[in-house]
Amino acid sequence: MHRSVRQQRIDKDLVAASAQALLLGILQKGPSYGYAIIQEVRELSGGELEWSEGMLYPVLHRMEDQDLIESFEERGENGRKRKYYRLRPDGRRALTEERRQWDVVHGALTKAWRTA
Amino acid sequence: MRDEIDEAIATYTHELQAEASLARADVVEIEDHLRSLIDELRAHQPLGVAIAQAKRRLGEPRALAREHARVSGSFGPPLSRWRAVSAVALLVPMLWSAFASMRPELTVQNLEIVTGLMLAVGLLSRRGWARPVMFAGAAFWVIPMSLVLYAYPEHTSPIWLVLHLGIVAFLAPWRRREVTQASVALALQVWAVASAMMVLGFQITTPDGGTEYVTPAAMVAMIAASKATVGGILRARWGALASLVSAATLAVSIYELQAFTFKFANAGAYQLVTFGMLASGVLASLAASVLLWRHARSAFGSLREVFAS
Repeated sequence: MHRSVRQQRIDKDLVAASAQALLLGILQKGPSYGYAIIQEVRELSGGELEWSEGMLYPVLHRMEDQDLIESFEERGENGRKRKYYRLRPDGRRALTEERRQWDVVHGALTKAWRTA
Repeated sequence: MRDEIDEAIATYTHELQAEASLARADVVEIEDHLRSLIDELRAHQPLGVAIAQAKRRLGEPRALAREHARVSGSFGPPLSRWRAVSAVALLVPMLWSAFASMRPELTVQNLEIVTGLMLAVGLLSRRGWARPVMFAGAAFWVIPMSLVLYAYPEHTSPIWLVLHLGIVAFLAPWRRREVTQASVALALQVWAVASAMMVLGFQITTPDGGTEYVTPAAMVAMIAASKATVGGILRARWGALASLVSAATLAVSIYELQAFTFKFANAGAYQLVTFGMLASGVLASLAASVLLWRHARSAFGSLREVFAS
């Protein structure tokens, strides 16, 4: 009997939990805007992380309210005014803490699965 | 082709706005994203398919609007705790002073005290509506207060003006994202309430020793504008009608006030500012009626907005 193992999509709770860490990481490299951020997430995850694109903005706005990031407007290459986001000092500190926490989780999982 | 894209984007944002009052900057951002998606997808497929797929990828507009409203609320994002506490701290001396001169009967001043207390509670519990209401209420009085301080410096303490300016500074929407259509409508309507209250300050003594309002229409205007403010908080369509009534009665009170001659020092400047503020109240109420109608959630509104942060 042939049994195929199908890979499931990344669980949406995991996607939501990692959103802020990913956004902080992407914006650490420089200012970016919504559409480009989505493209980068897709690229970084090899297409595995599927975000509902519109839902990115409420997350960005919440981070803006928390002073982790700030927005500014600039004209894009097509001449359209576009809203960019960049990291604020609180965002850099939050990123350091996110990295520490994700490293702990990653390390723990690696050890747990190695001994299993 | 461009028309078809523009039309699709307009339909999408209309559905978005029907569910929640989003800041203009947020809508522009979503429009830009949708346009970029369509541009990317139409390189590989027919335009109609590209538009449909782009909309699907961006997400169902009503769900997206609800998510935005969860973060920002209809009246803008929640005010930070320190700004809310600072504004309330500046309100306390005003409330205290009003309490000290309170009279037992029902007066406009007593209503102001009750409103002030409600606003303080609203701000401290970070209700979205409290901010535009208090901001517009404080901002309105900065102008006549400045004039009185300028005209009668020896009889006027600058402390009240400083307190009002402080409240305005703490509550002002310094970021574009903080301004939504619903919050603008509310602020405009409160401006009209304040205009009516300003005119109610003009009273005459009757032969039997009582007092009468110089412009009785201003009382109707104040009640209508207050009701419109409540309608704005509930996001009810009837709020727009009350707003129209307040605009009309404020216009009548301008007419009534014209029959009187200002005979105190600096009367010309005072008259100019009074009529200017009244006229601004009429315009604010008219603009508010349009916004309240366009952004009402339903005919009778919902208490959900009252408790939403």
